[in-house]
Amino acid sequence: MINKTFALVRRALQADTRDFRPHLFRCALAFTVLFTLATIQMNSFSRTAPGKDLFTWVLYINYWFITAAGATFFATAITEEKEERTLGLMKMAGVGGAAILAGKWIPRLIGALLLILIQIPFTVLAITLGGVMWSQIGAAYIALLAHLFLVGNIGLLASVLRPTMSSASGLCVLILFLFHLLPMFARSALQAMITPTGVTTQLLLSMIYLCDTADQMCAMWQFPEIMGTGFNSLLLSFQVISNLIAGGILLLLSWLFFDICTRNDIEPGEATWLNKSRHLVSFGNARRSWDAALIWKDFHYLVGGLFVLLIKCIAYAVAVFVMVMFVEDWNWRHIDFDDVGAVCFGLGLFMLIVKLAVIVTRVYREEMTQNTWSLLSMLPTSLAAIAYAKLLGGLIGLLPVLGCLLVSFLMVPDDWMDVIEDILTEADAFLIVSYFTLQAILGLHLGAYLSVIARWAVWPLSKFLATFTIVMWNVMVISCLNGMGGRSEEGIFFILCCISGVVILVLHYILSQRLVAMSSE
Amino acid sequence: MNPVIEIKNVTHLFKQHRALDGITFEVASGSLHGFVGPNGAGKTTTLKLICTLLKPQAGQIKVFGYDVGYDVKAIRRRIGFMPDHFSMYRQMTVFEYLDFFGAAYGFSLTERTRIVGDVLALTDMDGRKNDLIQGLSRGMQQRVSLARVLVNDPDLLLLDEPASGLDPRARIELMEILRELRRMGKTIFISSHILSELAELCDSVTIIDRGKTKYSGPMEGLLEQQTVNPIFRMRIQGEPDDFIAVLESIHGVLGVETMEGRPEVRVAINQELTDSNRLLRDILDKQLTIINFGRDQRHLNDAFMDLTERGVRT
Repeated sequence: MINKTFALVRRALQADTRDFRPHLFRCALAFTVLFTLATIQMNSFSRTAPGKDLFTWVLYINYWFITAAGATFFATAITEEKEERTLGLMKMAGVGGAAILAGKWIPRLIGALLLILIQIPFTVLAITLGGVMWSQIGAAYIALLAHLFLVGNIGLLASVLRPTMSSASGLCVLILFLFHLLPMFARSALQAMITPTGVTTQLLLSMIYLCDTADQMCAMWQFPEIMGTGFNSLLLSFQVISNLIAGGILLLLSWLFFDICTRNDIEPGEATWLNKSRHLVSFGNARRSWDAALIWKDFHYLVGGLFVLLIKCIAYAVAVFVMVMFVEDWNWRHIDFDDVGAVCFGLGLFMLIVKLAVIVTRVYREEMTQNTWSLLSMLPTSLAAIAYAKLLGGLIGLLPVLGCLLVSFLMVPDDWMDVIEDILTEADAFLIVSYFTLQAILGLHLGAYLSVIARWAVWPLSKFLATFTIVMWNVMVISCLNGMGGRSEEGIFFILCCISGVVILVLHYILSQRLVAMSSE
Repeated sequence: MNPVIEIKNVTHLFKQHRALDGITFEVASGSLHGFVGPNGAGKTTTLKLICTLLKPQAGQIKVFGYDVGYDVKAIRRRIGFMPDHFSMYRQMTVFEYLDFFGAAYGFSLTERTRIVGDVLALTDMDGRKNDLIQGLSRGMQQRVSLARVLVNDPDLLLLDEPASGLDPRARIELMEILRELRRMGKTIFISSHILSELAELCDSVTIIDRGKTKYSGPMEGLLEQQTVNPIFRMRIQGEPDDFIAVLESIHGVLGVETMEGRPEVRVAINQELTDSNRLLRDILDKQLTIINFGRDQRHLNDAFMDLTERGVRT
């Protein structure tokens, strides 16, 4: 088994070494840390502990990077072989489940570790800048590594259980979302059950204790303690030990489920369970295409059609209700229009960006994986018309999100009107909103472009890379502006808007050229 | 008849690789034209140029008289292209798939109902119209692909390796559908590696190798060319050893050879000294009983090997 595992690891590392993109990405990360260092140095006059600030930044960047890697980099470990239908060949060559798992997982772990290692020189600088000690850096990195082990194994298990990279990525995101937020919501709800009624059962207390314990497993909640003044705890904290144990259990589960979940090959463009069930209940009555066929296709097969839209509307309603209840300490009598409006706005805006990212990264990629782009390109219409029609079909999927924003508008119309008035009357507000809107459009273009150039194995990464690049860029811009002490912000935002506009146009052109090239591949 | 496809001196490069190097040929209207070449010869590139997915870098390609570089939409309305890879929306049912393409070509709901019904009947898929495509066999999927090509009622069908990966039955059935389409007046341009079927099916053929046209013209011309001395293939009652000497003694016979594994012989004659009638009469005069007799033609395989192996076989 060891030889086979090493063969897989060696192959993966060789491929990683030969490909320039991972090196480029590492350089980009190092540059990001360096830039963070520069901006902190620029702001050092207003800081008491610049070293601590730098390291805290680096720590949170790493944390979110590792978390996102779980849903992308690690969630593709086995699914990439499933989609390429090479697992069967490996099994025929006598490579067992454990060897495949280790062979696919270890190179990813090494890749992630390399990304963390390249930052070590900067962390030494953090000590020199002051405000942070070696013990804190050690504890933080150990917490991060334990988090990496846990998240990596969540991704691995998702990639074993799910048939495609998209679905594995989705499952992993769901687990990580619950891991971060469920204990907090559950504890809040359970505490609300105690207070008004005065009933405190042992079961409730145990459940609250369970929520606290689950919270302590999350490295992010431990960082304030680690970075706090006078930190003097053990390096092997509860979070580290629990993450390692949970990661080990997930690894074991991956191995146990491996054979069951990898028996059958999958084909690109397989019908989903939703599609199959809808087909069964239709009793042979085929759905008829709209005259706008391309819009119809993506609305039904990318978005999921009216049925999925309805489910999403219900899901958003439930999410808004839970969040409003959370905000109001689970007392429904305190709920007012303002709460609902604010929650709808926050959720709507967040989901708008998330859904847009999902749509633009899938809309052309799906045609690429199913080899159907050349068929569409043969239609007697321009390629641009085809591309925009497809996009429009996908964008219909935003209706529930837009509904959420509409509810927000109806609940707090005055707040909305104030904001709109500010944007229209104040130059700086207009420029700032324009700038961030352009940034979102830029991110979407980048995501769409990466999704059609990326190798099959790194497609889910394109979403993450696009988001990461845009977020980091904006963090840098804001840090720089802070460093400049607010001088001529309007002028700078105007220039940044112009630059963003040009970059969007360039990306739009490159994407269109890529789509043309794809039609003849 | 006017040519449907006219290709003149077309050259196409992919970076440094010369995929096509001045190819020239024509495809007549209503013909079933075979397109043959070894792997990497430039077949798929040629097909993509014809169906407007690529633009020619040098030379000229006209389809129905339209230039592929400029009149893209006019050409696309009149052609149907079936690529060499399976490219389908496998999550759709057969009917939905065809209905979708019908709508994409701009047909109304009523027209689509009729068209989809017609192409399903033609490809014998009407019994499976409500099945998900992913559940169909490869042969069935290929039929659905062909049905999709026919949705816009194209005058020219461009088929890239349509029979590859199909079992013999599915292949034979596909060939039958193609014959039926030819009878309906469609021009079919078919790229394939299955030479025996092409020889049987096609009126004309183009052979290319390393981006160059090696032959383009009628199938008979290819199979008969380069035979200076006519050769006849015959089966005669009795053991070959008994009658070979007799055949060799006939006036005008240049040589007789047995065919390995077959009870037949091949007889080459000098056409200045004899002909087929005289040869037959002479054989009968020698008291030999002929079971069958015919002009020996080269196989397309032989012609293909001769043209593409650059004189290795002489």
